[in-house]
Amino acid sequence: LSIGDGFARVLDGARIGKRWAWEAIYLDLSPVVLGYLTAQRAPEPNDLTGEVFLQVVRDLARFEGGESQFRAWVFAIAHNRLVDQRRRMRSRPAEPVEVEEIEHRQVGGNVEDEALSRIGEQRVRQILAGLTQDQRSVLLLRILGDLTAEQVAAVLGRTPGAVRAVERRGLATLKRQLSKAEVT
Amino acid sequence: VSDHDTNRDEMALNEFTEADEELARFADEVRTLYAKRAGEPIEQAQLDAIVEAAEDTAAQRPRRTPLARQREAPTKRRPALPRKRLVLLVASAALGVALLVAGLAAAGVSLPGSVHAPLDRLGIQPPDEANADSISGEIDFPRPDRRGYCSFGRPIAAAANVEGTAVGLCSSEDANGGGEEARSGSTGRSLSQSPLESARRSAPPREQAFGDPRSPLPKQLDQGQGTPPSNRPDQGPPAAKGPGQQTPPADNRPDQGPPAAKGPGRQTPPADNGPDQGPPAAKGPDQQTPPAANRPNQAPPPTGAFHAANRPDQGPPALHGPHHQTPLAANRPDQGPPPTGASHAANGPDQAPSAAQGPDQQTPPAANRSDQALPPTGASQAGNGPDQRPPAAQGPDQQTPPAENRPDQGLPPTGASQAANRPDQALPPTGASQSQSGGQIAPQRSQQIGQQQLDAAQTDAAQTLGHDQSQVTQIAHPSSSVPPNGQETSG
Repeated sequence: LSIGDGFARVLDGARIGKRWAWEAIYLDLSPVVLGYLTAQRAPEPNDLTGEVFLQVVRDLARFEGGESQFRAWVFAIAHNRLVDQRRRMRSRPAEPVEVEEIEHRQVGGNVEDEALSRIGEQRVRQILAGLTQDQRSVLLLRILGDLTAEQVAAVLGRTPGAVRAVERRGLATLKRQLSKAEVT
Repeated sequence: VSDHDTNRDEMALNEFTEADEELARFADEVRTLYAKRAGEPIEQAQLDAIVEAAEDTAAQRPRRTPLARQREAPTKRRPALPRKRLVLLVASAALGVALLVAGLAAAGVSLPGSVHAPLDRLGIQPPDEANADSISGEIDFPRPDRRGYCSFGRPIAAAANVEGTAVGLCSSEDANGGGEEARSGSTGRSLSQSPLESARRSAPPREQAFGDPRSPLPKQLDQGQGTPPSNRPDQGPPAAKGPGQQTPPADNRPDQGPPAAKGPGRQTPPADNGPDQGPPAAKGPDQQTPPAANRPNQAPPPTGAFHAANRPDQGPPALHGPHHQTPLAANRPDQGPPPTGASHAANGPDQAPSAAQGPDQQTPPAANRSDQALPPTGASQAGNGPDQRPPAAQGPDQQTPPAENRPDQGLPPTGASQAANRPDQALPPTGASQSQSGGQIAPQRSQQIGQQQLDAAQTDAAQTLGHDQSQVTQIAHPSSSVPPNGQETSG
């Protein structure tokens, strides 16, 4: 899902406060941003996603570039917000219940589908939990954000080579985790 | 990031995930699991907040693209600021040069021709440049030799809050034209110099011819310093007052005391060889001051009231105590200055009768003093004995002997006005030394009191009897010869 060729027009409409432009941007990026923050175990991913887009509104005047850069720029804001929230959580510790757990406790729906989904989510969470913080960030930005290694490096503030190295180690870890999971 | 690198990275990830089906499947699971839209209400709420913030932000900033603003801003801003700065720089530089030139001209600096030329063309004359000489003249004025005697007296008097002293000094100095002498004496006196020391140096000789222990100038300075005369440090402690006694402020001043305050064991002969004798006050108790008549460096003062009025070192009467201004001093027979000769110098207060001498002080009796008129009768001996209390030592409750009983004091017919104008010779009306060891009165104090009371008695007698003062004096001193010219006959 991408805006495509009409991105420049959408961007100009967003700068003058057009609602349709912001709807297009929000519907295009909010799911992946929310998924990234959720996969990073952010305490309040929905609230944090709203803060990310408000920051995008405030800083949109300073942005220049295409859709790919805009995507990387939005993920950079999301990552910085995540880091800030983690820093705040360290100063004021709290353990909120994750959103996924609250949704799973809701009654209703197809029990078989919910059971398969819960098994798949638990497996993905376990595999992601086996990665380091850097490996998880790099792989999530690569898979969910569809960012290149250089864009990931710009988001994380590292060199592309370091990002690639982290990526390889992360994929190797994933493979080991997947092989182990299949065995079990 | 080039497209080649981006494609390579994408291909690498895809190859990696595609090469391993498990990894590709895991990536799809991650996208499916996490890339989900939030709930409808959440999305609507967040969208509303985003659109509202975007509208506010768009309304606040101009509707120009950042690129357009980036292109326009440098072209408009950059030239404007340097222009303003350039104008301000030029204006400040011009103003600074103008102020510099004006300041130099005001300071009297002769400006060079290159600076003068544009100013002359504009018809501007630098201020005060032409008056440089006058300015330097003002700086040099007054020259030391043109500084008046009063230039030293005024600040001191003003500092002592007795402006009248300086005015009196200056007026009297200017009136008789004798300021040069006083100037020569007072010029160069430093402030650190004590008034007494400076007074000794600056006092004209004619002041000492009367036997003044010190010139009136230091007295005026001392009196103008605000310290009560009785509490001055150069004075002895005030005498203990009796119930009916009053201590005049100046009674305890040792510099006004007669030479009778001498030590017991040292009898200094009449010093006719002391050229630079200081006032008696500066001497210790065992020193003897020679009679003023024998001082060779003391010139006789001019006669009459004119001399007294024109004495430059005499301040206005207001500076002296009331006892200095008493008109009875004019009738003091022993202080009436004769018009000429050295005999008039014997009338100074330091040559008063020795009636007030202490028991341990051996002063020649007044009868033996050649410069005083001595009575032929025994009545005059009443005031000379050491064990006899002189009339001056009597307090208010004591009877003052009548003037007829004081044959040792002659009344000069002339020169009375001079004595009246000499405030330093006037004596206080009351005695303070009565309480000193039962009649052992300070000589100078008792002498002054006795003289004053005698004068008062004579004046009262003259007024009561309706006679002239000289007649009363004749009656009181039948043996004392008072010649018409005022010279006393030495005994």
